[in-house]
Amino acid sequence: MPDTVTIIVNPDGSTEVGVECIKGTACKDATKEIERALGRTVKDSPTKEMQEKPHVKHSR
Amino acid sequence: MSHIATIEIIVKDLDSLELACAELGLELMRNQRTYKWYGRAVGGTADASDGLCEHAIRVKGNDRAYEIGLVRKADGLGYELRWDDYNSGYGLVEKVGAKAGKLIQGYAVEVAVRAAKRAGFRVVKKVTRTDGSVAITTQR
Repeated sequence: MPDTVTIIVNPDGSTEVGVECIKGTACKDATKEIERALGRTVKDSPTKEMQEKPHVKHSR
Repeated sequence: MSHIATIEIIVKDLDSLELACAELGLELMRNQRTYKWYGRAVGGTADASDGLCEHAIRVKGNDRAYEIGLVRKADGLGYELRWDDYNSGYGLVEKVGAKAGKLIQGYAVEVAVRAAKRAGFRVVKKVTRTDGSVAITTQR
């Protein structure tokens, strides 16, 4: 499933950036550049999916 | 969603602002150092910086309309938008919306799309919803 970032820009300009389908803290990196380009992050709400550990494959 | 961030928009990308202006029938006047306003504050006094700016935004085809001045923010991070809304700025407010909401929205959409593309995402859907918000879905 592709990583999906959704940006909602309200009529007053207030904006929310949300990301889904990326497990763990990798989701923050996906949106960091977008958030920085837009302005200042005033609230950051990780969701349940964010708290799950990423799926990491181990091989020898 | 695994992460939701709420953003306070800071105007700093003039190219995106220029595109947003064009969509609304406005024109970004780069390096125009003054913006049109009434010229005198209530009480007959004005701050020395009133009417001064680094760039300005005008209404195309309406020489009577007041203008928006882009003034560098004190912290150096982007611009503050200043304008005189007396009598709706003689046509300015109609174009930019109350508190420049329409202009800021258009600007944020442009910035968001550009930044998403730079981050490797492609826009798969962009819709204006019934509440006036614009929803942009990107994927990679």
